[in-house]
Amino acid sequence: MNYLDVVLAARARAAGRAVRSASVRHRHIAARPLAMVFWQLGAEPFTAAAVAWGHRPDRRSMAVPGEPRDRTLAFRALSRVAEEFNPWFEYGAAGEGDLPQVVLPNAGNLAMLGRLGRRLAYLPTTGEHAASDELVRFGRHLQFLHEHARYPGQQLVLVLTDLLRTHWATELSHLETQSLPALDAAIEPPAKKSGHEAAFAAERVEIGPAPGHDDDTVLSGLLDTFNAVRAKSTDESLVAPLRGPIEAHFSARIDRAWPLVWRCLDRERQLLEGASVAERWKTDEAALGRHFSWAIASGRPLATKDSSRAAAWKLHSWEAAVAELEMNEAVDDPMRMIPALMSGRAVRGKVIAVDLENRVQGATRRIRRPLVTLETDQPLTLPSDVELYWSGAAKTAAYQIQEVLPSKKKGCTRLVLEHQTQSNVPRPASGSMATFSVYGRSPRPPLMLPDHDPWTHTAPASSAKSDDIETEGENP
Amino acid sequence: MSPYDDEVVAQADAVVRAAIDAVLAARPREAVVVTAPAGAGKSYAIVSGVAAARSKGLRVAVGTPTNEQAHDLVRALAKRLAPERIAFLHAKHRPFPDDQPPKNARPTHDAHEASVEAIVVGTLSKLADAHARGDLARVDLLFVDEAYQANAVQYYGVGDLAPRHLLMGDSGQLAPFSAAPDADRWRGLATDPLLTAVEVLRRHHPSTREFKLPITRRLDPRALPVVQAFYPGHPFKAAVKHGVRRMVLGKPTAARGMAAFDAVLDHAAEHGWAHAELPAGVVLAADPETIAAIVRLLKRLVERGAFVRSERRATKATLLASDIAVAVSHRDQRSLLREALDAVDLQDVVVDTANKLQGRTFEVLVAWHPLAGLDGTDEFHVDHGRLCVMLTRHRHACIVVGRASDRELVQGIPPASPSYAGYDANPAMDGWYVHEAVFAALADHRLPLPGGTGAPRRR
Repeated sequence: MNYLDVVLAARARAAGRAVRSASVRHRHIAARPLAMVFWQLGAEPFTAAAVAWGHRPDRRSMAVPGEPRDRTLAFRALSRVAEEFNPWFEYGAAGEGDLPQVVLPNAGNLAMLGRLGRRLAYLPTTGEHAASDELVRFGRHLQFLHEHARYPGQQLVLVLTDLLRTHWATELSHLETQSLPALDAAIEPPAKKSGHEAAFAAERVEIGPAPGHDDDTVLSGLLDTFNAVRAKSTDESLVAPLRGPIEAHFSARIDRAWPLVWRCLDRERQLLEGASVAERWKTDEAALGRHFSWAIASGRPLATKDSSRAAAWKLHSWEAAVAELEMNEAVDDPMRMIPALMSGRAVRGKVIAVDLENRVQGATRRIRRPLVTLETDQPLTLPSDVELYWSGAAKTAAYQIQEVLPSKKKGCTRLVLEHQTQSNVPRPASGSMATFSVYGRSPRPPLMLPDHDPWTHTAPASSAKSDDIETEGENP
Repeated sequence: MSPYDDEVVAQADAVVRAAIDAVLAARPREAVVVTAPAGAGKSYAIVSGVAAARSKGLRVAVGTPTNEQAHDLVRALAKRLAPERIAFLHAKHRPFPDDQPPKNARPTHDAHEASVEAIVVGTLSKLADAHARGDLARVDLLFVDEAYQANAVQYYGVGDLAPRHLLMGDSGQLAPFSAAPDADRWRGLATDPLLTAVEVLRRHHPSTREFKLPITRRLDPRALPVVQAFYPGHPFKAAVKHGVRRMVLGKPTAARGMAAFDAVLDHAAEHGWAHAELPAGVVLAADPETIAAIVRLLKRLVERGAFVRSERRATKATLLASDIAVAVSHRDQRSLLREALDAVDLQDVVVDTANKLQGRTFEVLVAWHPLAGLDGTDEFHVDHGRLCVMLTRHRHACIVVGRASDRELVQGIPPASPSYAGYDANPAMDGWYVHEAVFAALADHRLPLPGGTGAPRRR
């Protein structure tokens, strides 16, 4: 927790409801995302007992296998999802001029995506137990989404609990914020109730995917009846009528989450989108393109294990993405700049002079190095050799502290900053308030790796053993 | 009479010789690991290794995780191996910091230029990058310093730079760390990018020979009862004999409210340790009260003045502000403490985070305890590598500053921590027990500091 989080949590406590921790929206919300809600059996997390999906708050589709532990029934239900999901994911969204975005209520649903993906993606499509191409491709898409969802700042998958935690400060603990009903109640408590009381009550509303004890007890009886009557038959004409009570059971439970999902999403949609969000949406587009060319064009599944090289790449790109996200959010949003201001990584003040014609001696001739003088009442804890970027145009060249001068104004200091470029790029105007921070063009060098594992990272030839699951290909 | 424990010094020299002989006699695709406690003279040993390799006509590369470590090695190599030329391969924007590099050092950002020389020094990342681009020619032998700090990715890049490696490192230091989410997803696998370079060898080449240096040249014998906790299964002794190093403080002048601070300083000067505790409490990371206490402590130390006597010279020397450092865990602690020290004219006192102080030596060190004022332990703060770095930088005295309640954080049952298939180590649990052991070892050096007074007030 940084100091800002501590202060905001205290304010949320005092206000009796959540307070905004962002002044802009830091994630893209697609025009027509797909919401998905999963339910599983209490003791069988690797198959879906119910799936609901849809693009609108007032309309949803639902697939219920009846007995999800029966492979035929489970795959039949999932195939129904796949038949609608795949065309939308692969080209439907693109046809509407956007990327496919999946909205999930909580982290449990994301984990479900990963487990289902892992189960379906590697199924054989030939032989006695062949699964349909459609189902396998569905699995690979889910697997991709689950993997991509870990990429810092990605926006193809919106897990609502994470989205709300990004934008709101509450007095809830980390564990408590995993419950979307509780989080929503803390943000918008009903009249005459504090956020705390409302969240306390809402926390008891189960929205899955793992069932609570009471739900499971009810379902257990329904499943017993269903299985007794069908007597191991998977004939659709026989089981379809028997599913009614189980479908009604899940339908009621999905209806707890469905309106909530859309309400939370719409509330966040009201917030103005941050300036860097569109840029990251492009990164997502590139990742999606790589997935399609791998999963569809090559038709091969992902490797189940990363090689040393793939792991190195992945870690490197995640680290870069973490830094990029922190930078984007701070530059887009004055509120996200506060922790940097408090920890000596940024300075805010009034621009009292801009000298565009300042020149310094370069290697061969005198070159233009504009000066910006900033008056600040902040205690200065910046290291003297720090490179600072103006948040108004963070992608232009850095400023360096040229001089620190006393100010006539009590408790203030003047900072003379030298812009390390002579180009005519945007600079803060004299008289305006400006923030200079360490967030700007990141000079992070690209990772260069040799093409093959070096001897240090491979076992000597004599002791090499291959007990790993065979892996085909690597992540791009 | 020699100020050194000649037996330990001879043992350590023999281990270094054996390790160098082992790597010179190694077959291709073999490595040797040398594990050292803090301040064992690793750099000196590396220079000896390079000298031995050069006397056999071998071409050598030396890599380290950070630029600062590389700079130090260039200086050490240039001095001892003169007139032999040392190429220092650096990034374009990170030139050698000295205005006048040693005469026989050749700083360059051009790997082709560096390849001409028989000794190339650089950060692991720079060597790896140049090698991957095909610009840096292969060498016969690679030395890696601070190998326990180098992660598997950095090591991956330089693996094929040479067929034989010698890895030198301090097992007590901070392990590779990543800010990426899910960075533990590979834990337990041989492909984990956050393995140390040493662990990479242990996983893929379990027959790799390992040597342990039984010596610390930096630390005084009085430091060992505490520091030993960081090196389980690795006995070592101080090179310096008991009583050789002494720090004598000036007489305290009467000053109000200074008795507690004088008591801490006197105790530290006499015993080499003091564990100064502010009143129990949970506070913010960059706690103003702790900052005020550290500033008053250091101001008092400089006011009183001190002489230090050591094995280096017979006469006593004045303790300078630049001989003193404060080690912290967080950047904001560093920033605010820096500001507060500058305000009382203590600009020369070094303040930095533990990971930046790795490899550096001071006469007196003030350690802002990583657990100070926390409300619970987490993986970051309980990492004993951080505490180890803080508690092993000093030649004379170390003053640990924390709160009286800190020790309670590591009492009782350790919290549940995740476990991983194929990964038996449990850093969180180890850290917990090491912290507990260090608190116990410091128990005789506990002294209270008053809180509340003198906290810097802002407008």
